[in-house]
Amino acid sequence: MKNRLNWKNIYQNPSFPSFLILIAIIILNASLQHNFFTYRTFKSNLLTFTPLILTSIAQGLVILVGCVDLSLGATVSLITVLMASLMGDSLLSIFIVVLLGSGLAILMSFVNGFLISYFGPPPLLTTYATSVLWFGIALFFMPTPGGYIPKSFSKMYRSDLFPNFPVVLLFLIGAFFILFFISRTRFYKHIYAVGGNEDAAYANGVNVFLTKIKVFLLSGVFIALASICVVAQTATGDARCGLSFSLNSVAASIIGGLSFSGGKGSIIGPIMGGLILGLLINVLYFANITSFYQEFMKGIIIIFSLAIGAIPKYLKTRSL
Amino acid sequence: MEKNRIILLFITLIFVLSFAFGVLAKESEPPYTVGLSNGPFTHSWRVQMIESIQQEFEFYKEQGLVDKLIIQNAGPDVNTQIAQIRNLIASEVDLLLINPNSSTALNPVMEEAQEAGITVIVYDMPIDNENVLDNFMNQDWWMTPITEWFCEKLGGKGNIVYISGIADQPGNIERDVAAEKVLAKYPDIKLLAKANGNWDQAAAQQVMSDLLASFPQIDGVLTQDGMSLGIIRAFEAAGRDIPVITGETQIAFIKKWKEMKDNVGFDTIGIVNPPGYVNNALGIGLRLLQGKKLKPEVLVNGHIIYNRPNLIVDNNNIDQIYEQYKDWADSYYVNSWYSQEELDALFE
Repeated sequence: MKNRLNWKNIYQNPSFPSFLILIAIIILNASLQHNFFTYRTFKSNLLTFTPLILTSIAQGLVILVGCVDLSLGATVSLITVLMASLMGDSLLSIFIVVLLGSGLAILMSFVNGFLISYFGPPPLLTTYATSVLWFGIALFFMPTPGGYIPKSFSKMYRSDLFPNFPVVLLFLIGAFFILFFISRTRFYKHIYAVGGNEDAAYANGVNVFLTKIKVFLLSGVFIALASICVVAQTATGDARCGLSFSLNSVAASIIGGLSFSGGKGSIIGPIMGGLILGLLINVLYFANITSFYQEFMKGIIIIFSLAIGAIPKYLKTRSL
Repeated sequence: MEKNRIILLFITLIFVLSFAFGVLAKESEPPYTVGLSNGPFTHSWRVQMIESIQQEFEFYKEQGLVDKLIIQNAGPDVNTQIAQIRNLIASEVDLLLINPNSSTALNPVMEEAQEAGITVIVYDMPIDNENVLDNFMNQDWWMTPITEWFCEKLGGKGNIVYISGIADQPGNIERDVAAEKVLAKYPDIKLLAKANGNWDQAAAQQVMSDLLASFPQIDGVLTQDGMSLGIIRAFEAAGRDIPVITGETQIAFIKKWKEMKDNVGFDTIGIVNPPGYVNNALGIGLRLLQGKKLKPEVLVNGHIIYNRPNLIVDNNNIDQIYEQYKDWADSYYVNSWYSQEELDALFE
């Protein structure tokens, strides 16, 4: 950071409300769950949250550039179907199938990006259309859940690399590393430029077409990582298992302070948003609130974070 | 940095608090904690299932066998169910009952539960996991007596149609096979058509109306859960005489049955597929926790315990069943579950 922290900068950051909510929800969860800070709970939470966090990053990147990807969940589903259809017991086959699945995820994301940036239809409609397409293909190959994932693969996913270091943490560290690396490139600035004002970005010599394609490719990488987690934790191919990620990742991005119009907010936002949604299930559970209220509470939190996000703007207009 | 210091302080505080909680909370053995992970909660069958286990749980509570029942409804999403099961594991339940959203996707998380020393029983649905006990209705034992009653009622001859459930559903496929096996023994019964009413009143009525338009002579309709009422309505709407129709045990149909029996001498059969059978899984689980051993012949394929329907409704007991359930909502079902003796009979 350049100079001393400025309080105003902090609370005017679009991700600030989600930071507050995250702290609150962690305190709430810890006080309700007596074994919250044990390694076992930490790991089990990590196993549960990682797919959601990774899909939220994927969605967040796309939202930052001013698009949205409703086909994300269907992509995850189709990848699980592909992996469960092809995977064998040998380490080599696991490796090849994981590579193949990742490649397909990136390719599918590329198709979205290409359609949107080359032909220019609204991203919402385009990705909705592709989501139906992916879902149909997944159902065609696997009408009922099944396929084969070797036990060793799902065991590997939830084992420890060395004591008190779960394998699943590698996915998150990998994701952070990619984000850290990307955030130092000019491409990262271009994302904000294109998301903020496409025409202005174009006028200033930013290649809008290429930037969008690159964002979708990058998003595909995170979808691929998420798909690997989902397939490892369900040990099955299921045309429906990813569908909930589409809207949950959008919710996480909005809770994380991203704006639907793009170009605003930090990629840390969706990560916190994903964590909040994951912890919410725990809090409701340990507070003995019936699980019917989960969706309801999710709505309240989204509205709450939007409202808090609006406060600085409101104060600004009043002080004018 | 100032911000970091505050965050660090927060985290330390949480750590201290949580360890204090951890020391205070302790786990005891004999009164068992039971967790139930259910999927969607939108169908009356599921609502009645939860009500049934809450009722039976009180019985075990009075015996001092159990203390706490934690119920979680995940909706149709597999990932939410996995998250909820992980929470149930974190709550250190002793027995985990699961009505799974997927026949395969919960395998790893069930393994996690078993590694944590939890007894896991899946109920209501078949699953692909030979290491987990699976307790559900044997569809052959359910469909065969219905089809046999139907064929005998027809006197072994006539033109019939079969309104089946949802086409690719595994339970439905087993029922179809059972029905075909019985029908094959009656060469004079002619199956005009088979259609899928999707276990849905309105869909069955639609399908039946179409069939009525195509076939002038229908002597009998073989059907299953949730569709008899729609089929009767289709006959009524077409102004045709009600033929032999197999019945069901949803309260709406029980009311119609009683009325038609009293007015026109209608006769049918209904076999329960009751929501209360969740209590069979509960009873089996609690006995296993007490160290009892299942009889080897009870286990099919090493992990399946089939349920047998233990209540058949026909014209002999419809009056009594009607009296018992006449004030219930139409969407509920005639309910039953295994008695303590029936459960004990499964064990050595």
